[in-house]
Amino acid sequence: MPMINPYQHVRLCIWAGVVLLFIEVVFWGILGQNIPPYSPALDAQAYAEVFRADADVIRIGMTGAVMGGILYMFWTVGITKIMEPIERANSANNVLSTLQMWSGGLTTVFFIVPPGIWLGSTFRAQTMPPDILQALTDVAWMLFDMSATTGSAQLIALGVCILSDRRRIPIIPKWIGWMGIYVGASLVMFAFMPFFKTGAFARNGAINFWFELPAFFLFMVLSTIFLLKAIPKLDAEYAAEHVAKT
Amino acid sequence: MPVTEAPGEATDEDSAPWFPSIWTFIALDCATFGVLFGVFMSERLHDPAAYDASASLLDVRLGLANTLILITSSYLVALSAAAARRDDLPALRRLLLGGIVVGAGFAVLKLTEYAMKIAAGITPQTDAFFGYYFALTGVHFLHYGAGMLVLLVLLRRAQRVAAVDEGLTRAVMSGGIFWHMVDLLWVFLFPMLYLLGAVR
Repeated sequence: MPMINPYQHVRLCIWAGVVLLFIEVVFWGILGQNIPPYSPALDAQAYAEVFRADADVIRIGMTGAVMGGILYMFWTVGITKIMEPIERANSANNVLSTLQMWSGGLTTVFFIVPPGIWLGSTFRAQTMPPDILQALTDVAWMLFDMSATTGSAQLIALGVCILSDRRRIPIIPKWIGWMGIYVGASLVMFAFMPFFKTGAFARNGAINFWFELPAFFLFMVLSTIFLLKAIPKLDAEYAAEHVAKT
Repeated sequence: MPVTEAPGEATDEDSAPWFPSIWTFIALDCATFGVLFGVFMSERLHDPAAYDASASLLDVRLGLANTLILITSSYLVALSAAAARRDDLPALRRLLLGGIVVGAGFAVLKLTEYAMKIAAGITPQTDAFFGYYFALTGVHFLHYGAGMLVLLVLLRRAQRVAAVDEGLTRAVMSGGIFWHMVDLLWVFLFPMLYLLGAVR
């Protein structure tokens, strides 16, 4: 019987997370004028003026962000396929990997829908009333930041799974697991965003924007490195089991 | 099926003393609170008089009581870790329970304080100080809740075993480290929020 490759396409899925990061920084961040975001303290008229001036570039940026958002689902599926053998080795059920996949899948929606709202507001930016233009941006930010709990659930499930690895040398280092739990838990601080138009917890503030989002993206980079390193280990483990059976 | 390592493969556990990996989380979390404290103190510098005027509306006695509660609870949990290391299961159970009961007092006082503030019309949107007060104590309260949950899980685990094993000892030590962090963070929050305005 030919040996199957249980990790076929997994590397591709995990690399998709890196591509997503690039898209988010370039399209959502730079072209979308979100690094840093417009201040939520601006009045509607002032906001409309700066937004209209950048609307064409933002339209290009948000088109890329909406189209690229699905790559988060690829990354999520890649993680799931690394988590499954950890759960199997523990003789555990697949609750953690399932929870991770569902919450990662839901997070994907928020990589698509809020940029879609920003994109929609560029469509008639020059003729749309300023208060509606600003309200659309507010709604997009509320969805983008406040949906972070789906990302929290995903990262915490991943972190707990990594910590539960009973191998004497874990497939993924345990500090990555703790970091996942930490970043997942820290996303809860987005909950303060609706209460602030200025200061550290505002959507363009030191904590909310300059700390939370980089922490999430930094974890994506670090975890991707160790997820990719896990594949050869799992390949070798599978090959050893296969040889033992035949 | 359980996976085993290849024969003869050395691991950290074979040669080095056990090092709780929870320190990764603790270091990151403390760094985050360091950033939060820095942000608060730098924002305060813009208008210290207004911050102090608002801070004076806080009840220092409640803050002090909560400080004493957390320190006492932390002390009991530290004793429970010592009990676990000498395989004294009855003392472990008793001390963990004591840490939980004393620690519960923090929630009673903090929620009472929140309720009193809100009843007096003070919310996160009252001014910048109270925005930070609710945000900082809120984030700390989430940590406190997680810590209490951890202590309850440890107690339940201690009640289900006949003797202390290595896994339980490590779990108590890791949980204890987290609980001490909750205590330590409050020790910074108390003077920063309650005392800076009261001493002027």
